[in-house]
Amino acid sequence: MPVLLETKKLTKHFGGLAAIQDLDLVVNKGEVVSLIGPNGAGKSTFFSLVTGFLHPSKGFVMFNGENISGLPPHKIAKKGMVRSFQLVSLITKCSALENVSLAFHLNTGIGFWETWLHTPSSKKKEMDILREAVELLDFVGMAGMQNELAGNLSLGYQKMLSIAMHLAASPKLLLLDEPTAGMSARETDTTIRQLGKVRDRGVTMMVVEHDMRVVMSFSDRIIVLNYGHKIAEGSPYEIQNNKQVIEAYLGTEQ
Amino acid sequence: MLQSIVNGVTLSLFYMLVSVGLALLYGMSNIVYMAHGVTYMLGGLLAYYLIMEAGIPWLLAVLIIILIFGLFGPLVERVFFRRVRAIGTSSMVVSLGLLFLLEGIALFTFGLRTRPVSSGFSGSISVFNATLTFERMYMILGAGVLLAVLQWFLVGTKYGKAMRATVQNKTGALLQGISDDRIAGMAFCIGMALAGAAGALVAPLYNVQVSMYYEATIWPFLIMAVGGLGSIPGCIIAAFIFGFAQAFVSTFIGPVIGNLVLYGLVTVFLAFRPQGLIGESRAF
Amino acid sequence: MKIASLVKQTWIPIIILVLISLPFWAGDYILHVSIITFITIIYCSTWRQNLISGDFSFGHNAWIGIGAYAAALLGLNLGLSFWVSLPLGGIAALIVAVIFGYATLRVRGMYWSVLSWAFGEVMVAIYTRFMVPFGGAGGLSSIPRPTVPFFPEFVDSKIFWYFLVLVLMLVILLALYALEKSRFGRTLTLIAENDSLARSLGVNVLNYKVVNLAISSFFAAIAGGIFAYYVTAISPLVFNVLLVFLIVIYAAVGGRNHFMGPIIGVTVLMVLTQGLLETGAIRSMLLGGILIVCQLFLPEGLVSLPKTIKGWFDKRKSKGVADASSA
Repeated sequence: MPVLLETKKLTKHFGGLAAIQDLDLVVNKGEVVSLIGPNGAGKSTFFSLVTGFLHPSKGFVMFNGENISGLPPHKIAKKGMVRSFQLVSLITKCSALENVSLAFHLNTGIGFWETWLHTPSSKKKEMDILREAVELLDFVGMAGMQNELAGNLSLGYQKMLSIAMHLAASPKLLLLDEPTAGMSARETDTTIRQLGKVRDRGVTMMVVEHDMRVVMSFSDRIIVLNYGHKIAEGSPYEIQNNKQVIEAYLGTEQ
Repeated sequence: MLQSIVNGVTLSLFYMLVSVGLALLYGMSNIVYMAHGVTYMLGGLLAYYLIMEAGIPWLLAVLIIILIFGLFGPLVERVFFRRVRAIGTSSMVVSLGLLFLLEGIALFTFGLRTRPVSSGFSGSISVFNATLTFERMYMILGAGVLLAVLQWFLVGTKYGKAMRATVQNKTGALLQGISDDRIAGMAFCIGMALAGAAGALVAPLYNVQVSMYYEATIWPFLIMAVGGLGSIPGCIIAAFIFGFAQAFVSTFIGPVIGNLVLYGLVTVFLAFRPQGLIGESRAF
Repeated sequence: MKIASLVKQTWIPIIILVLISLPFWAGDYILHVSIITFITIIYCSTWRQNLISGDFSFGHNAWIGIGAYAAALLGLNLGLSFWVSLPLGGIAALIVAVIFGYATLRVRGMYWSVLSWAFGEVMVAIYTRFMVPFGGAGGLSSIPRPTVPFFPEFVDSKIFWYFLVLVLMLVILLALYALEKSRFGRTLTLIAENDSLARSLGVNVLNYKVVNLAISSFFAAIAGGIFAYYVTAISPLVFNVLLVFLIVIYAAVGGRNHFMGPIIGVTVLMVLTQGLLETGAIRSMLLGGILIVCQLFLPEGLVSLPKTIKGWFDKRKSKGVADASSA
């Protein structure tokens, strides 16, 4: 399997504290990799580092064979690595449909002047985008909610909408930061089912998660961080039985 | 040369008096208070009325003004800014309205003329080739005393410590039971008292006119930004730098180009280091 | 309900017709006030354009001033025609804005606001300091009249200026409206609301903001240039930060978050403060007082008045129903 994302000796210091230390990590095309670890282990920091929101203190990040360390977030996003946020990332004042179609628009080539002058060709492209947006909302199971204001949706649907928006960017690698946080068991199940469909579409995913049920059932591979270090890596079964991982989460036996 | 230093000290202290209040308001209550310069101006106008029309001696007038403005401060907070907090509008815009309202009232009562204020102190002493009028000496002393009192309050008293804690950690302070409203009230009290005092202290030197609010509106903001928005130590350092810079540039290059140079330097500085001297780098 | 929808569809042409007819029944004074109002509307709407991308500018006076001084100087010193100087003044401001934008728009929020304020004052200091070519504190005067074919004296009448400014204002407002409703405008809204999301979707935020600033500065400068030629004399103090303060007041009273906000705010406040221009004191008090009352009780501005009144009526209706049903 070709390697999509690779980090070598990735390190990030904040003042005197190393949030991420010497991290070597690989994500292969088509995989679903879960990144887990106790709170403060550096998972969100990792996402910020590889997507350009933070600059590495040391080491580098390779995406699709290209060195992307130090590139700004929008350039990395354009190369196909797209990241979602823990907190709601939507335009709350716009409808679900408007949110998704904006995300599509940002990744198609409607020119600036075309859109300002509202030319017929831009109108046609807008129609195409709207169609695609409706399809995408359908795909993520939000068919009836196109015109709901994003701010009024329930948390589960907001997260789904956010994922839809990021899908509209045609990502090669989708980084999801706690997609099921704050959800009820039922919402979580729905979300995981949806994410399964996304995976079947061919999108590689890396997920930061706390819900172990999700992690164990959904991942191909699990990477465990603690205090900024990778302490374990392997299949769900291997991780479940890994002593170090259990210690990290529960503390050592007295 | 020595004269420039004296000017520098004077200017620094006054910038400090006016800017600290602004920094307190922003740092503690996240209030952008555009009407600070008008407070300074009103202090000067009130000084005129007290001294020239009511015959009250200068320094006593300053004390009275401190009292009045200090009492008015929490009132202003209660009437205007409590609701601003409640409904979430911009304190910047509301205080802009206050700026215009108060300026209008001042213009209406005071008129456009510049009026002199006498301090009742005449004579001076000469040190080397710098002349220091007694008047100026008392100004510096007065400003210094006020700043010292402020320092004592912020560092030595329970309330002061609470206020500093709020600047550093808003949530923690709230959890300790220090109320939002009370903090804002105190900030207004201190800020307005200091600004009014500054206006009154400076009155004999610059003569009093309504338009003196203009420079006093801009400079404290720029000083606060250069020091680091909301940071009080940063504010003080920046005020020093500004005071001396302005004094020296005025003496050696001339006042008009002095302004140009200062504004230009501030712009460039803030473009490269928007968080100021002491702020955290959240500005990018 | 039929009346409501009829009004909705036709009010713009009606107002435009009224405006076009104005010179035929209004006197010079009303025309003068209208001209100043139109120019101020352009100032205010272009200022609001920056707000769409989340940039609260205290330096908008810089673009207006550059437009005014550049257009005036090109006419005075180089003898260029008004019709050439005006757009060149706009381009001058645009160039400065682009440079300024790329240098500073990485800075966020309040920090950028203060920065823009300092920059605006730098420009005023430049005009004041340099007698050559800006005329120093005295400013520039005897700015030449535009030349018009066939009827050169037409330029001396208020009607010429009225129509010129009216057409310009309508064109600029249309352009700004189209921009706001376009995908570009939507992206700006996204940037203002959720900067990180925009970046994670591939938006080059800096570019968008700079383009936005360039457009708003260009139009603002054109308005400044027209102002200079209309009043034929300008001085630095006209373009200091107080101009921005006034713009903010108009926009806030009208409604900062709505396209019609600046237009309504400027119109209402200009009309209300008419005749008070001589005694600046009462005008200041009125503007300040109205702003405070509006911000505290109608924070979304006058544009939200219909909604607020409707909401008030709805509450009373439902309260009435509740009372009736519990009786």
